[in-house]
Amino acid sequence: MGSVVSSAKINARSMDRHEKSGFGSNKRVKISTYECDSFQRIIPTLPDELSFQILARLPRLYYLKLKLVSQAWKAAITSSELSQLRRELGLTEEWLYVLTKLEPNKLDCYALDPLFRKWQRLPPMPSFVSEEESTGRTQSSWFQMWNVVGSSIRIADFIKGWFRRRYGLDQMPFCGCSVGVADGCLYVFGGFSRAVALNCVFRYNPCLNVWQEVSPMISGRAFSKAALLQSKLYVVGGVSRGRNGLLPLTVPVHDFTDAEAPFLLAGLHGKVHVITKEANNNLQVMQAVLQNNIENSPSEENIIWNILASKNFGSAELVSCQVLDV
Amino acid sequence: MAAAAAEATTDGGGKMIILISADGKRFEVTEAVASQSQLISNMIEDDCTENGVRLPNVDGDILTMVVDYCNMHAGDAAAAGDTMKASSTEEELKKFDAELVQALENPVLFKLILAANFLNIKSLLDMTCQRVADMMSGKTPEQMRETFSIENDFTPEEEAAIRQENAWAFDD
Repeated sequence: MGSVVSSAKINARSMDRHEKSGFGSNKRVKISTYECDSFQRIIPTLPDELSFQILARLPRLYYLKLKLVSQAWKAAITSSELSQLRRELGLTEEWLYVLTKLEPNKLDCYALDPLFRKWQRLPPMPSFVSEEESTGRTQSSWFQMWNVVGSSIRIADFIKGWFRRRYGLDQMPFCGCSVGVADGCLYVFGGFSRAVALNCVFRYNPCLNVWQEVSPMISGRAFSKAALLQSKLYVVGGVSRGRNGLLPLTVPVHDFTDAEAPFLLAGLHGKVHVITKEANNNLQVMQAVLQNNIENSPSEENIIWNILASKNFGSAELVSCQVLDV
Repeated sequence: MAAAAAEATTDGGGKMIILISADGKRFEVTEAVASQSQLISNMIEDDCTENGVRLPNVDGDILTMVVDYCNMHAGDAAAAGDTMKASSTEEELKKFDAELVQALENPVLFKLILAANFLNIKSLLDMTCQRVADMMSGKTPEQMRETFSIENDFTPEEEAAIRQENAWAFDD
């Protein structure tokens, strides 16, 4: 089993697309996504520059609805200029993003606006496993045959790699993806699907409210760690495939991002938040508040847990969570 | 004559500046009041306020509000050093600001935004834009179109797609 773990390899892979930093305020990269050639103005009686000033001051919970006003509004709301302006004005809002798993091979993601205490369901993620179960079955026998022939044969690896994304070896449900935040977007990396370590990467852009599949990692990885360092997102460690086929590790040690974990932790508005799932399937977001900070150090007694939000998402498992400040 | 007025000084000794609106109304304010406008502050530095400052983009009634606002906020910078004083006047300023924009209809409010932008008075631009944003809060797209006379230029298919996105995102 030990041979499967490749976490000792410090095989950090930088995503070169993050070299342009959205965080350095003096190093501004303006990529115009706001195109409004033949359309009407955002507000007919105001120059668009000033309409942007107004839109930037709206709570971002309203943005999705206001895309419906006109083409110009939709273009403005989804533009990078607007999020840039919100950053400049110091008006960005921290939202909590929680990934859950209801069906074996599907992640559902929800965003919580802590101010309005309102949940927003994110669009479905692109599928990382094949939907055609029947073809999957025929292919898996193919793989078994290749395994018998011997995994040292390079061509077998090549073909396996080619099929890896679409067809699994058995019916093990999806697990072990890792999640990171960079450039105001949420990233979901790899994971195991039917015992195959995936190399695919998905990005959620909160301004556009869309998931996109972006360039994959060099190798398949599950239970890896993602960290932002100097505005580059590094995905390190985790589990890859072994010498004799693919051995899944379902429970990593000390990993709160695991699907089996009973709770998730997040730092939101400078406070510790715990996301739990109750027995009655209620997902609860609780905020730790230090009751009295007179000289005695924080202990369990003087922390009260405020329930920030609670919602029933059925039997969905908690997978991971992140905070995006947009 | 304008030059003579511009030379006049207040009791306190601060130099006075004449602002002239698009419709020819004249406002006499101290340099301290006027220089809250970055535009006028730059003009003062460049010494070109001698014959009064013509503001062809700003109507008299709008300039009245701007001058009121600047008069009220002129003490801001001076009071900033004294925390006790600043906090007591802060309440008054907030009340004044709220009352200034509370009763304004959109067309007037927009003119005030344009003036604040043209004169480059950041705090006034902040406040007026925030006011419009507050008025937008909770409005449906249909109400928004009506309020701001915006034409719905989506095709039925495009509109349906966005509605679907919304229905998916929000349960209620």
